[in-house]
Amino acid sequence: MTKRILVICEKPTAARRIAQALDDDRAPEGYEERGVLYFIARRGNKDLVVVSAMGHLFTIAQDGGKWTYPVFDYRWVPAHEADKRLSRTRNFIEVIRKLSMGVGGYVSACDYDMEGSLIAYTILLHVCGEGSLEKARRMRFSTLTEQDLVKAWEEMPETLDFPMIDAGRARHEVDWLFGINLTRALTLSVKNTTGYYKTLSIGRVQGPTLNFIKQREVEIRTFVPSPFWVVKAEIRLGRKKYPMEYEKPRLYNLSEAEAVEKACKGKEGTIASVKSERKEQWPYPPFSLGDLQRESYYRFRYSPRTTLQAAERLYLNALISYPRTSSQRLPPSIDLRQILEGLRKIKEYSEHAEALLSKPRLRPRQGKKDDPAHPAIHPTGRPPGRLNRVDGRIYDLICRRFMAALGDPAVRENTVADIDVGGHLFRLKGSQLVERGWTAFYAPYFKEKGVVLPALKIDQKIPLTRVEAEPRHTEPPARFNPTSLLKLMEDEGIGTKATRAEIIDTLRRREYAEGQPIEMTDLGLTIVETLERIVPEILSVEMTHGLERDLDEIQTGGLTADAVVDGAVEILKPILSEFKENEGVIGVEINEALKSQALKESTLGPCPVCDTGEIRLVRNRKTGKRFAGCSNFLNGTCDVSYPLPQRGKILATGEGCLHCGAPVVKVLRRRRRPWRLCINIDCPGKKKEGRDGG
Amino acid sequence: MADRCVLCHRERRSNVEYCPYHSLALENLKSSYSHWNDAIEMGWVSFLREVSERPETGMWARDVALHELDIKSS
Repeated sequence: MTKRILVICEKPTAARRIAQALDDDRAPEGYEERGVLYFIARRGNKDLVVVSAMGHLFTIAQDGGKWTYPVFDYRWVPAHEADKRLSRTRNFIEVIRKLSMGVGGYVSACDYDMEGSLIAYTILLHVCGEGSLEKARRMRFSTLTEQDLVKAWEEMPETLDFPMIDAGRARHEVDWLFGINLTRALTLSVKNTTGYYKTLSIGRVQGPTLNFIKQREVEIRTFVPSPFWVVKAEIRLGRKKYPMEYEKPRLYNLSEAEAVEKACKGKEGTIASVKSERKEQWPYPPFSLGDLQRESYYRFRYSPRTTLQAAERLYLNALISYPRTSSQRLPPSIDLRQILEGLRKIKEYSEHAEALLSKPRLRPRQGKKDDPAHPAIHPTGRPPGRLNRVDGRIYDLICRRFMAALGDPAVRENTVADIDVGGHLFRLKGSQLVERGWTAFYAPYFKEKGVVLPALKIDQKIPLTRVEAEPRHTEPPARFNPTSLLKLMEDEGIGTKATRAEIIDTLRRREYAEGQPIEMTDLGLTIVETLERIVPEILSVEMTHGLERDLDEIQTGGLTADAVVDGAVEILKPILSEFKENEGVIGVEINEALKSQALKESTLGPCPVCDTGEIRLVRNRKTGKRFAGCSNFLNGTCDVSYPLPQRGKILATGEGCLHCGAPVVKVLRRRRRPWRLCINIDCPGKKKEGRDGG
Repeated sequence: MADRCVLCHRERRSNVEYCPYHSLALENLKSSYSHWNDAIEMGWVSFLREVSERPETGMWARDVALHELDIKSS
């Protein structure tokens, strides 16, 4: 008799690939019911019913009670019950319930990580019944290629990966407890004190992340520059000029800087010494997710979220390995030659792949970081076909980094010559690649910035073409950008590779931070200040570290999920009672910040007519339409007003129109390029230039 | 009603004029002044004037510099 096995996948695309790979004829039968795709694959004497979820079909919700805090009673419920926007998930649950009837076994084929394990576990527990857990097995794979999937099927362990499931469940429950309680505490402190409602969220990872931004903001806002001087010199060798560095990179005294300049001006330099050495420059290791997000931001300015989404699409198309990995290593189990054989068939990489295949031994450069679940991100070697611009760029980056990691070290020759000028020592530096090694594979992303020096002889006299003591000032630390903040979160060990980018986006969505680079808003600053004073634990990295350690220990068997969740409740109890006691103070302070932020956002610039008022964005109470008007309208001294676009977000630019002086604003609309606009409809610049005037 | 910083709405300690942020900015001004004085001999007022105009100066440090200048000139 044929045995039916229910195979649960995380996403529809993955379900299709898995069904195809496991079907004996590579042609599973596809069905659709209530918008849910599923496949019947035949493998030996088994019928595999391969069905997909749509991410998490179950989530945590409060178990009874009102919208208040503290909340420690919760249960797992279908996602559509907790969030109406997820109504489609109901169909998935119903279809999976129907398909699970009468099956003899279950397989979890979701992405092999904590989230994937938890998705399948909650479906089995709540849809297929508790008994299904004993009959369930886990497929472990890092790519969606046929070869890997078949291997994962054949080498499946007999049981589910319960330690990973427990760790995932505990992480969700701990995050829910922190998120729901702290968010409600903040939101209700404002609502109960002032009657004003605005969702103000904070969580156990959001808190420390916001604190990082705040600390940097304070450094920048309290920064005072100090002067220093850099002695810049230039010599002529043949037809070319070369810059030289003074022996002291910075001079902190004007008279000393002037003395050096005076002593060297118009003098000739004498080469006192020349040293050359060759150094091997090793390739970068293959990408972890964090490395990929940083490199993609650096090269293309893609946000960590955009990069992750592109990488996930590439993974689902079986073009790269699973991207949510911390690993920078390629284990021996990966068939590097087979991947290169595949890349050889792709025009852009054929030459490089050929060169690597001709090596007798392939030894990838391994990084320090490892991940027990997945190797570093690497291509599978499958032909990519047509990719959109973002996916194409990310794919290219991954392929080239993979090939570079297999390349030989590059060899660089560094030359340093000490030049004596009137008793002062200057340094002339040259550098050139003598063997390109791996840099040839990473060529578009490796820019050679070397300086090639001509032959130099000791005691050779060289004319100076320029000596100047340039005044400089120390600069404040740079603001975070999405990737530098992500790196700090990674280094501090807070959040997971899957959630960090989302947390940064949440801080922006909540208007705690804005812009690029990331600047803290007054609201964000007030939230941190208030929490710092009343419940500093929420902002502390130590508390989050402790929890992360405990969550990790669940996977190694050191702690149970229930113990970690109970521990989180104990941490939360005193924090929430502090909140309750100080609700009034917290509410007033945050409300002040909200008001000042609203005023700041509505102020578009100075009034060009009365010169004393401010042009503000106003909404007509009757019609709901918006326009801009002078703040002096209220005291009857200025009645200037301008119409505004009714759609999209309007941001002040702080600039006045060059033609009429009216404020210039930036209009942001979904799926449209932001545009700048002088709000004066009669601006002479518009008539002249036919567009947006100033 | 708690004592407020002379430059912003934030609370200040009883024995100081500024909130913790503006106090930190004042400390930074003082320590930077010694660097400026070593580099180019200059008085406190010239220093305040110079740093209040520099783009690298943080907004809270600039607030304090301008306020200290006001005090000196009044």
